[in-house]
Amino acid sequence: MRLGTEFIAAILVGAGMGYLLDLWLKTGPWLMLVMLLVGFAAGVLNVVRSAAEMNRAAPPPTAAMRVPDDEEDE
Amino acid sequence: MADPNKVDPIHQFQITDIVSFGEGGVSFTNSALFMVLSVGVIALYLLLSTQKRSLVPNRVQLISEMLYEFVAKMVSDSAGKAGMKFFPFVFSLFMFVLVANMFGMIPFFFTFTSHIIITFALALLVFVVVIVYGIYKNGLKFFKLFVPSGVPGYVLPIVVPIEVVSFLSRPISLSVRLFANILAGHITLKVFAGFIVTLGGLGFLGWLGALLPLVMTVAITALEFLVAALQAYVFAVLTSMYINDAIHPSH
Repeated sequence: MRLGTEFIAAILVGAGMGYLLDLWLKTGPWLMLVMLLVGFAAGVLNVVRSAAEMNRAAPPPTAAMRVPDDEEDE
Repeated sequence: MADPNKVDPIHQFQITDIVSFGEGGVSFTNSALFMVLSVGVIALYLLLSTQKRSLVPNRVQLISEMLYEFVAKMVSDSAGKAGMKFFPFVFSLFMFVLVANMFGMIPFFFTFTSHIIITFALALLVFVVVIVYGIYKNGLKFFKLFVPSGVPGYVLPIVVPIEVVSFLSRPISLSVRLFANILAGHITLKVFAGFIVTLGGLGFLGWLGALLPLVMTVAITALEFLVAALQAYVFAVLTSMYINDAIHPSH
């Protein structure tokens, strides 16, 4: 539920921004398409970030027991 | 519901005027009434329960202290010492959403968190506070939030719009999450409860069949209490995480 809303909200914001920019600059559907893709990327980014947040809050037990902290951030 | 064959699960969300001032003007609705009630209950409870300030707290005072410590730990964990400046803000939001959701679980009470305009207003408040405080505290450095460190210059034209859209999507995901959980839960509850009445109209066998949705309704009611508390918690946690971004704008 949480990951789903993060993803969809970003796509909606991206597409909405593109649509408004199109209305303003009168540039056909192009900006909306571009911003839709940007929104998709932002949605994936949101999902990855909140999943990382969840993992930090409650680390997976086996990985945490074997190797405490040997990869990525901090 | 007078007619057992007509179950209307949306009816509970209807906004009605209690007192209206002038034609089409401002009016005091049932939604506003329950907002006032929630604030009143929170203020009364916290004031009365902490009045004695006994060193060994009684049960009522203990609950207030636990709520305080719970939110204080949440804020300092995600936003650090500097974030405790925002403790009153996060605590108010948490209590408001929590009491609103819990009020919604009482029959015949209106659940104002099931209206997106209210959750969106709350989320927008968080959003504006984060932007204004971030710019006030960090000046132009606040916009470093959109430029992750360690990214080579030639991919910045792609990364910055993605970060901006990701930032702008926060109030929407924050408000939609709370609103959708509460709305869906209440509709599910109403639909299953409606099955009991409809099946009951079929005579003895119908009553036997109605046992199933009855069990479901009891179970979903318990689940809804969980969701009500959990969504208030999630709202407050995300608020303190966004405030953390305003205080320390680099990723």
